[in-house]
Amino acid sequence: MEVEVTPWTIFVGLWVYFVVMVFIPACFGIGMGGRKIYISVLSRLFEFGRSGTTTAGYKSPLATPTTEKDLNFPPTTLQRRDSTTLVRNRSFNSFRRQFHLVDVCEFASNAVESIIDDEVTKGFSAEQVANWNLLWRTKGYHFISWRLTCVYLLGVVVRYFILLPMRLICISASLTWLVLVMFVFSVLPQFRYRRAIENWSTTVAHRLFCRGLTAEIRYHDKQNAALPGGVCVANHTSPIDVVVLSSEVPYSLVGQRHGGAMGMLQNALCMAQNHVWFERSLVNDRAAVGKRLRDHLSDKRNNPILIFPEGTCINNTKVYQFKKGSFELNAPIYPVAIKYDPQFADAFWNSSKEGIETYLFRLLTSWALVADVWYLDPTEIRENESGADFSLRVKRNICQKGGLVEIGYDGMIKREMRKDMIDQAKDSISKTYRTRILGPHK
Amino acid sequence: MGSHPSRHLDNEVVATLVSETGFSRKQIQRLHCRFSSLDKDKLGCLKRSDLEHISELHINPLGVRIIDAFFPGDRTELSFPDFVHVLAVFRPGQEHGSTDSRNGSVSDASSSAVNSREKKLEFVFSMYDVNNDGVISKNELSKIFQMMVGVNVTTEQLEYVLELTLEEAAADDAGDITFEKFKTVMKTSAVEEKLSIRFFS
Repeated sequence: MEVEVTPWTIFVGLWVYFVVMVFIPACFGIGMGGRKIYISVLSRLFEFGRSGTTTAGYKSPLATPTTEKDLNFPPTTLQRRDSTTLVRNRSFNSFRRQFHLVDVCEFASNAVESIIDDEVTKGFSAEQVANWNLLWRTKGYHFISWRLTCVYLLGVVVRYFILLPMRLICISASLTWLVLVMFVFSVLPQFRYRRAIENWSTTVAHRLFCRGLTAEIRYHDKQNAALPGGVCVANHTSPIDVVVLSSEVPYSLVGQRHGGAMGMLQNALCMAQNHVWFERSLVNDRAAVGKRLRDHLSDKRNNPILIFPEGTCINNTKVYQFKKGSFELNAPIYPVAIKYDPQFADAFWNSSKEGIETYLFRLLTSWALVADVWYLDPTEIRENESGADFSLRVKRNICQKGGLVEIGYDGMIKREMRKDMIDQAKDSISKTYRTRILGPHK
Repeated sequence: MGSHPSRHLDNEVVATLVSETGFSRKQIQRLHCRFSSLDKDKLGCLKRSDLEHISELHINPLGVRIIDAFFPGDRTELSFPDFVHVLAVFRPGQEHGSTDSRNGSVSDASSSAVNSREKKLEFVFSMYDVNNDGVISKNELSKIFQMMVGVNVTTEQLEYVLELTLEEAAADDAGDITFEKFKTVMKTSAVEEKLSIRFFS
């Protein structure tokens, strides 16, 4: 078969390729295996790079945390050479004992550690990558060899001139599909399988978006996925979390109404699906928010709600305090842990440092987006358990599953050092000490 | 030591600090990195507010006292050498076998070493001695203790704990603890271990 190679045929060829290799698999949620091969090739490439480099960048002056963990001080260093190392919480016998003058040392050592190595700021700066992943943005590596530089430059060409255009096509296809679907359904009358088809369509859109990011997501324990009438909670790293999770299960999103592009997207999504968007002013009205969520949950035709209880994006190495609101809705909770592999892309969106467009561009020029998603066992609030304790329990499970560090206070503390947050954090540290000295009853 | 703050690290300064504090060159360079990142206004020295911006420090119940340790008396600017000198107290003592082979000429075992037991005890004493008059008064002890345990403590519990502590320290009639008495009470406590930080070497 003679086919003339003209720009038109190339264009058509690309579209055919796209529909067959990307769109149709996305409709059925199956992978063609291409991404898996790509990821393993990349891993081998990084090994190659690793053999030549030494880490010459900024490293924390601390070797390992030294202060006792029983005062619940947040750990101060994040040198994670292998992902299975967790900071161990030494549990001391909390029997009553007397105050000793030497007790001040614990506080002092921890204070000095925090001067040398700031935990909360580190929580908001991108996770250090132990070995160079051939991206300039992973800073701190000096020139090592010509061989490595050549590979790096080749990588730049591949990422910006081959991958980027392909991905842009995919992403725009995904968004076009989404808008189309929303529009179609907004004018269609209600019919029997309408919800199911709506959900399927948006799932396809999310899958397409994921493919556009060359996302290789491994979902574990899918049998625990959220059901209607339930609340799914997860640790938050970026808006992409929503896309990643929605590729498997249709959710109703909860959040503030934004302006600009995000606002338009929110409105588009609302055309066919039921999401819960709040006006800025209402966000602090806990009663009103609670009522709307409960109403949504009680209608079993609605999708399960997806909430990120941290309230803000964190750098995917630790989890800050969960806001207890979502745990007081009298609904089953479906916890999810998401862990991105920093080797392939830095998924963390630092909203105070970069806008969403810059962030997306960065993701689109990264190697890939590799992540693990664990669906934990569904759980409900126990009798005599407060919302706060319940949120703590769920957070602990998520941290353990995802290999993330637990932090006892509000993540917003770095964005704005509000007096009430500071007092609360201070008190949580004092409380542990107080219990040790004076006994648990006070 | 540099009365004018400098933003770059001279080799000479590093060498002096190495011999004075026992840190290695690498450690001093890393500390300088951190010092520079804390120096928001790029003045070459730190102000109180630079340290107060560290959230972790802010939420530490004794954070204020540590900042006081870096800014004693009327001092408003902290130079890098002074910064390192305060941190040097936290170097692990001889018993823990510093693995840093490039030690300065400071002998850890001698009591004049920057991180000796004596110096660590002095530091702990200064944490309590708020007005820096050489004795820990009952008021000062009460104040520091309250900072550590927070607000939910009854007056009876407070009194009880303070009385015990003062008795143990054999405080004089005025309820003051001198440094000598302080050292005696702390004889059995593992200050070298508790007031130590393992710096990356």
